[in-house]
Amino acid sequence: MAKRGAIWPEGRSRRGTRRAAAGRALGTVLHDPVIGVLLLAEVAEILAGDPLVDWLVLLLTAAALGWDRMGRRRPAAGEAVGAPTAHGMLGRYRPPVPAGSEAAAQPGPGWGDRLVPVRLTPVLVIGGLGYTVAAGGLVPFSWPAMVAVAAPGLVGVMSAWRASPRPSAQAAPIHVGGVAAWAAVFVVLALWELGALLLQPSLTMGSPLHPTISVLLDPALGSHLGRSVGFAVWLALGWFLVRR
Amino acid sequence: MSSRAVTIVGYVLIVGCGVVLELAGRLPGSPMPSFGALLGRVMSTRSGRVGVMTGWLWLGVHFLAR
Repeated sequence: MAKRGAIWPEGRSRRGTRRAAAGRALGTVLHDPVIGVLLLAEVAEILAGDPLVDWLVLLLTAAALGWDRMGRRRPAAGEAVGAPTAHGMLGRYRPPVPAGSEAAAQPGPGWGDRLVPVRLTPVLVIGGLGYTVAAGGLVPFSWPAMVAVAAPGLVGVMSAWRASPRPSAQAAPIHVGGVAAWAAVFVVLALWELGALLLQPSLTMGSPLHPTISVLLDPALGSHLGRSVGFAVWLALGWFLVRR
Repeated sequence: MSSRAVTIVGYVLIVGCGVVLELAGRLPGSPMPSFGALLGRVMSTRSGRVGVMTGWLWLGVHFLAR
């Protein structure tokens, strides 16, 4: 008994420490609103009966961001708290450029710190158009179509992970009322879409009476031309976002 | 007005609100941020950038891959 009494306090203490550490880690992860939004969207995807790949994208990204955020809370010896660690997914964080420097005032030439060219070149335009024509001809709901989306999509996400923050964007003040107004628009859009989804005969069967955005876009994306235009718009949007 | 028309008008009105906010944000001296300014702020952190790009990837998967 004496031996057990000597062990239990230590075991309880260790469990308590682990629980406290797990609680702190969970708090750290959930403190990031982006992770919260991704997890909420993932739950909505599962409830809507969407395919595994749809919500797996969101879940994996949320997990990677949570892992990265927890890593930043555990600084290595001599590393400042909050500094991105080298163990990130791509682990190539570069410190921000001082706001007043020449490099901060102008985007870097060519590729900069992104995985795609930041300047519009003829090669980029011709290559993008060829890609959209080829991808638009792929059979919907097929693996080749999924790969045609996943390849540029993953490059875009990895580029965002790797890129340094833009000091000008960090410094720009944003009016709280303005943020609330924009947030309201997106929340109302999400609720309107949810209402249409719930008014369908089932979550997986579209209704012409209460069309979701997907149902409204289906006719336009049903042809080779329509899908090619869709790919072009999507790729252009991705390139615009990657450059930011 | 049919249910379909009401639903579509709802989408149009919501998009219209976004356009109005964008125009208001582009006025000189306006406290309202443009969508680009908002996006820049959101994308000033790694999680914001990755979150936005994941949203873009999800759009592609949802509308173009299937």
